[in-house]
Amino acid sequence: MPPPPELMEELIEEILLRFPPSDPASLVRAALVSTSWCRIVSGAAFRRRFRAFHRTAPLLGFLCDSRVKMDGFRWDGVLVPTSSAFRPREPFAWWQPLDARHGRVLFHDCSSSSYRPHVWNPITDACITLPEMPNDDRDDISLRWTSRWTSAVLCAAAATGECDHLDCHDGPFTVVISGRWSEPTYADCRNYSISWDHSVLMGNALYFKFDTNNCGILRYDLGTREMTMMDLHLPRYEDYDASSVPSIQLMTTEGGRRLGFIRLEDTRLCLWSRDDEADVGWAPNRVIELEKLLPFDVSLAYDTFLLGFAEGVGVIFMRVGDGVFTVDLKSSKVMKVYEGSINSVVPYMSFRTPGTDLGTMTIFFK
Amino acid sequence: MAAADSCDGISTSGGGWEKTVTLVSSDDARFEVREAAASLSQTVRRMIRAGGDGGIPLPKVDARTLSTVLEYCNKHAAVPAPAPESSSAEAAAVDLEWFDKELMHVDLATLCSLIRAADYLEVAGLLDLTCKTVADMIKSKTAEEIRQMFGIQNDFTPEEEEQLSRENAGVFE
Repeated sequence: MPPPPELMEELIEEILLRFPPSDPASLVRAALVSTSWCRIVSGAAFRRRFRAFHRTAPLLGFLCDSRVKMDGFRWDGVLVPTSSAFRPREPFAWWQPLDARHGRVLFHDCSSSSYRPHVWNPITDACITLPEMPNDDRDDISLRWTSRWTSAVLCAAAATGECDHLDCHDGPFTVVISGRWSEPTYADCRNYSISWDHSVLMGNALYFKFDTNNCGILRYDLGTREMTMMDLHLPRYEDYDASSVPSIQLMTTEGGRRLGFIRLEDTRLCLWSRDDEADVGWAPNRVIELEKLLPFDVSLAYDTFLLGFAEGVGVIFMRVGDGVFTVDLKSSKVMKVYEGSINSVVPYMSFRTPGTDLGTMTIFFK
Repeated sequence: MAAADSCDGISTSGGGWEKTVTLVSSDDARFEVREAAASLSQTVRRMIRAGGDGGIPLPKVDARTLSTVLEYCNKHAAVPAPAPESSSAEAAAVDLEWFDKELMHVDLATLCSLIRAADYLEVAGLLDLTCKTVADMIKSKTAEEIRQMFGIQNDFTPEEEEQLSRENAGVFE
């Protein structure tokens, strides 16, 4: 068969722009076709256009704690790829992943008695250790185990809304730490402990979930640096307490415009969202029947946990027994992504395209 | 009025008159097409405005390719005065999606001709559709398979080739 008519570089670029961001290896293969294709794919203009075209950073993998058997045991931080973006790499010994956003991952070193957060960029493999956090209760070893505080990492420009977060993974970042120290107290939350699954960013505010019987949400405004408390009065579900915090996962709905949460009710995933403009409080948004998506019955509900929510891409992580699944809220597609008894998942979303020249393609699959 | 010179008119099934234009392919085939459909091409729209006699010449598009482009435009152009009882918007979208899928059941050479034509004629929807189709065809292929499909020469130097295969060892099965 004769070769097809030749396409100008601009048209090759139009084709390559439509490659799936969730499979970065496909662009690397395209870059290896010829010097001309390599030049297109690794150019700065393509990099910008590719991000602008797809708009939402894809889910490339997730971070979780993995139990390691030693003399006793320990939990290591593990990066699990859900795409072709990363090669399997050594676990981070003793490092607990706390949060990830805008291309960066926030870790806590559980082997340390103080809190020194580490911020890691999986794309460049650069790691920064932040100054030690103040702790007036040095004898309290519980600080090690992140049961009394939580934290979030995000692009520094998120407070002003001046960044589209498409390519800011190498720029300035902010770490927000929210906890129960005696001083300073920014919000009256002394009787609460903060749930340690990661926060949700909506607009220029972060939302943290409280781990109490009277479930609450802490809202931190990045612009004004003010904290406010929000109630989360939930109807109890029949005779078991589905309103308990571990079964609730904060999320955003309506394309990131409304705060929401998801919880398990028997064999259903129920989405709730909050309409503050209409002042109607929490209202049911959507119901997903799990039995239609995966082998599931009500006996498994007690062994099912919501582990995390991937902002932007709208994917829920849940564990049923020892299987970790992703549920795509748009397509209702379910995928098994991990086998193991893990308690929390920190999803990692970012764009990953080949570097600016042949040499820097090396870092792409480091 | 000069702008009307290249425009004729045909009777529609509804009994009304609709403005049409004549497009002329590189191999001198003439296509009479509704102006609303032809105007999906920004290039044609500008030429209609500029006016002229004897049809609009499109020297970069052959008859075979142009007929497919016009098939797309005819389907996608809003049909004037749709009956209120016509199928719902959702059903129309499903129908359009099915039509697009069927239209893209062609070989790579035809797709590349359509991409060139959609680019030259500036039919944004068709350019997106054809490029997405080719992207889906090649996204899972190896570099060598893509070269063979497009008849591209591997012009990396042996040193670059070796460096690239070393750096990417283990990535591709």
